[in-house]
Amino acid sequence: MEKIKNRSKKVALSAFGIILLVVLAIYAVSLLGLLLWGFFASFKEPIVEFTDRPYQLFPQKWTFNIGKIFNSFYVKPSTTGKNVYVEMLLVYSLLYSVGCGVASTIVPCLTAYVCARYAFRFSKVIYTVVIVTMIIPLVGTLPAELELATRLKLYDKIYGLWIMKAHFLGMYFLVFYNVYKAMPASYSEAAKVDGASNWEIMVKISLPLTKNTILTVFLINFIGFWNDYQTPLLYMPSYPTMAKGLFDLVQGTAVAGLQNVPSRLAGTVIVTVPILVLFLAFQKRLLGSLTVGGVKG
Amino acid sequence: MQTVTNKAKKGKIGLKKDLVFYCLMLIWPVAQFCVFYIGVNFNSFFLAFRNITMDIESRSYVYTWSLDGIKKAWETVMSPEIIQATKMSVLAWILGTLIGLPLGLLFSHYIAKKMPASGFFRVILFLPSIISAIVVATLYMYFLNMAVPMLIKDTTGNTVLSLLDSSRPVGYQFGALFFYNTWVGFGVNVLMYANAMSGISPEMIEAANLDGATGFKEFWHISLPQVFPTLSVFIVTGIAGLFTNQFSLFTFYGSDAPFQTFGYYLYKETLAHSTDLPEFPKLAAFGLMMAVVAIPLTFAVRWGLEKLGPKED
Amino acid sequence: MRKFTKTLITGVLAVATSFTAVNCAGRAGSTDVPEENVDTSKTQLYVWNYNGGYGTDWLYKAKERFEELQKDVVYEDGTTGCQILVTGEKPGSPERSAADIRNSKFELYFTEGQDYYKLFLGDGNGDAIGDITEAVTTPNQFEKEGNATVMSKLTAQQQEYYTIGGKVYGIPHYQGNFGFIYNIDLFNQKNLYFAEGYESAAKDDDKFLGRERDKKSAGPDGIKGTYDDGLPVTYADFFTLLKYIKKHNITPVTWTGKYREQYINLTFNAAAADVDGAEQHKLKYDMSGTATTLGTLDADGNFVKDAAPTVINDKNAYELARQEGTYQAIQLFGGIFGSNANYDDLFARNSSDENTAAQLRFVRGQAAILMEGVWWEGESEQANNFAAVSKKREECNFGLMPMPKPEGHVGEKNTVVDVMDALCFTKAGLSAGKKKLACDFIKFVYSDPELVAFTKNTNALKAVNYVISEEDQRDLTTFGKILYKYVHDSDVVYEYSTNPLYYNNAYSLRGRAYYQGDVAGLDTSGSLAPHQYLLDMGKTGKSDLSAYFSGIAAHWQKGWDNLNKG
Repeated sequence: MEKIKNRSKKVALSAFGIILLVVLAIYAVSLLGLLLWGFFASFKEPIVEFTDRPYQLFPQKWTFNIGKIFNSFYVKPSTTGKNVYVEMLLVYSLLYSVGCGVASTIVPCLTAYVCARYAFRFSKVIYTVVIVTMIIPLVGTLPAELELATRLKLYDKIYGLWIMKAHFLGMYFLVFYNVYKAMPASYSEAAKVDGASNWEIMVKISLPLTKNTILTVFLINFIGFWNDYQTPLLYMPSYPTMAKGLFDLVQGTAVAGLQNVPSRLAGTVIVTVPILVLFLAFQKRLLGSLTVGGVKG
Repeated sequence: MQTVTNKAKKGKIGLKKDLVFYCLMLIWPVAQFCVFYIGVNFNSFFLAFRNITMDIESRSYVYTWSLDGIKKAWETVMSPEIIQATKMSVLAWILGTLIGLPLGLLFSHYIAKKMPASGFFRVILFLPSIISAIVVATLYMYFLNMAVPMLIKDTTGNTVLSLLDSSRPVGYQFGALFFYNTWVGFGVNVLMYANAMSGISPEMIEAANLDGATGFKEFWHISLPQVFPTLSVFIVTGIAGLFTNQFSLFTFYGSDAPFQTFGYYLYKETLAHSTDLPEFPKLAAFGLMMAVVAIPLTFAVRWGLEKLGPKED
Repeated sequence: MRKFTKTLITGVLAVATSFTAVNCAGRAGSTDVPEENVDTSKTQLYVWNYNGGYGTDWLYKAKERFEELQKDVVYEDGTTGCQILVTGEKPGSPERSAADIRNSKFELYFTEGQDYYKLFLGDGNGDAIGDITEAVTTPNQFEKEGNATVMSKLTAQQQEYYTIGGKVYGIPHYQGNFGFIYNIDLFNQKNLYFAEGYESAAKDDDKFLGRERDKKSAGPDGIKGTYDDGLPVTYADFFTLLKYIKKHNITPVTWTGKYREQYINLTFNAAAADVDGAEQHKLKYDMSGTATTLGTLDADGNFVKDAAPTVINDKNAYELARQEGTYQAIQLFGGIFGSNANYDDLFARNSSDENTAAQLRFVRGQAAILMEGVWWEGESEQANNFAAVSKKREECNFGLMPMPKPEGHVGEKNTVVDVMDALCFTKAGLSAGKKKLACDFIKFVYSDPELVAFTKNTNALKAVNYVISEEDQRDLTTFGKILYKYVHDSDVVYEYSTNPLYYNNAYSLRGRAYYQGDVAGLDTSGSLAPHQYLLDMGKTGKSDLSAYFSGIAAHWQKGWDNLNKG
């Protein structure tokens, strides 16, 4: 029944729609084509075959470079000197991206919540701070940041980065701000009359209502941290993540026989597959609930 | 009378409670901000007004107050190199706004209208955002630099240089990079536009359809106004892109790019001098100058959009 | 959809688990040396080594010999003997920052790309490296003959630089320079050598070995029977050779497109230094002395030396941009890049063309000459390049080509510019026992037998003076032998100085930076380096060698005041 209804709703495509369809189809073909080419290239014989005929789609001599990466690739942190192999890289990736993902979602969410729902003047200050910090280019702060992290005993600890990433700055503050601004006041007022505290209103009413947005922002942040190699490289040398491993691989690792493009692409496949699975599993949710309103304040 | 005072009293107590809750909630974010943003960047502001020299004999750096950093940064700003970077940054931004943004809006419209295979396209458009940037860039670069020229050479015997080759006029490299940046850059934006567009009430669309607003007209008269608040956020925060957009130059060329943007220049120089204290004042001053231009510009654009755009709420 | 997702996740997990299972069975593919357990009855020293082209194997070997030698020595109370725990790592950058060192457990470092003064000062947050004066200035008990100090093996330039206020905090590690490397097997196979008496041959083709011309010329050193027989002597010879190679459908010269900025400009600097000679080239770093090779161009674009020498100081060191070496290097590189036929356009400026890919072309004989650093053989070995021609590294024959000379400079001694900044140092604040152990190990590694062992292991040289006997040389690869001979017979210049103006601007004043030029009337912006002006614009026919020489002089004069004050 539902299906029939849906079908009957479909409007015939206008010329405008057809043009868009064609452009989008070209886009999809170019992107998927490139990714497929890269995927198959990761199975090519790395030295001679790939160098001589990089344009061929299918490998002539299938080579399981991914297995080679799992077997012999490692990152050796200069702090400990102990080899970190792929499984451990993935574990550190998970710890880093889940922790930082949660921290960098919850803090802007709660900060935006109080700023949007409570009309104190300070809220405006925070809002302006978010906008301004999005614009200012910062220079030469790295040594100061590293020094601060060391002094606060946060350097080279995974939880240190959770704390450092637990700030409210950035685009997602604006997203949350918009969501909470747009939320009708009636729910919370009714609850207030019933004697609910501010905390209860937030935890029991407001946050659950926006759980989809929270989850979406978390997933996007998670993906960002999963792919981030610079922060782990600088702030937690003893806990290299898979993205940092991939960076090493691309930069030219000393592990024998892995300094070639197919091996790097094989590393890429390892980094990308988990995130692709996660994305496809949650894509409905991930893609459905993110909006941002006008700039006010 | 009695009830009124009660209400006022209650209101005051409520306000006090609100304030306590408000303050408690903001302790962490504000403290974190003070330590990790202000604390760290405070010095960077003053760095622009310092001169730092290495004193080997005393094993220390000598800090003095000086306008040398500002002077050098100003000379850099006026150098042909940065004048060209200005042109390129502005060009990239304008083209991005004129081509990338409308394309994104049109795609969003397509998705929001649930036209054929819109679910599939939504996933595809978001795909570059979930795959590591080094990966997509490496693939694109290798395809342009190696696969295409070698295919041409092996089939026709001719050597055709990659679009990214630095002996070509800058326009080719700019074009190839602009295409790349647009191509991978739809992700979150399209997502948000499409979501904003699908918030339009069906009654309104039906009414509009009856008035003959279909196809492009529907996009122009219905989807676009609906998405304006979202759009304005992206335009306002996008101003920063003028100063921070690296245009993927570092990913493609390392520190030897055939042309520059502000964002690239600053990133490249900072990276090259990450341990060179004597070079910091100049870079900090350069950043400061960019901020001095960027902040008022952003607020002006924001003000302009508020005046020009359709009234919200 | 849900079902699909579930299946997908289960599938991926299954695959991941199977990988882990493989892992537990042991890492068959791993070539890494297994990690060693700590032996608490001994004193430990943690040693970090940059695992680049020269590898870490040399250090594992040295460690074994040292541990055996010192097995009865007490470094710390309650322990006897020592345990050197070695780690070879290849991070994105070999440079260790002060923070890296402070936060690391490693106590002794061998690495490269390290600015000694910068590291000595640290980052303003505490010292990073410690005093090793004792190791380098006291008699070395590990020498087989005599007991010369480590310091005595350094050149005057090195001794001056490494001694700060009478103390020493680091010493040079290995050596590395850029140059033209040639494929001997290919040269033999295609007879790419100049024949005896080639100077008088009328046709270019008759200058090379052939059926009637079976004897090689004496080569750059003028002595027959040495490795350089048949190699080009002058720039003109070099260009003739390139043309001749091209006739065999082989790319004459190749290099890495990705790192061309570094590779081309540093080779350019090597060529310039070779013309000016060590003493004059060193002025670029010292900025103090008398310059005798400065000049200007006449109306025909010929270099005319200044009538009188110029006294160089901090105020006028930009004048060094007018050295003859700069002029000649422009002629050499202008000649190489001036004709498309000398290189493969597809890779020359290709940012996807890795150094190992360029090496592979060279190893496979697709190109005859490689513009590279002398560490390339080790890198190629790590990248399995020799396997592509079904050979082992030691079965291949490559050589470092003596830098060709411009007219009027033939027969002059060669000059080599060491670009490695390779450094050996210890972490600051080691306990007395550990420091003693670290100093002993440094002395051991820098004793003559160990220096020779290093070269035999890596086919590379340490940046200190030592002699390798004929017998020991037999164990080197062909390339290693030629490298040793060439560097040993040349003057070596290091890109550093004790002049505050230099080290406060080290980044802007490194040798290759001296060749940035402002050329008027171009549609590009800013100053251009040789790889941009000579290569990119040579391709479009826009490069004008005279204008470039003048542009370099103009650039330095204009920008000199903008340097950080020393």
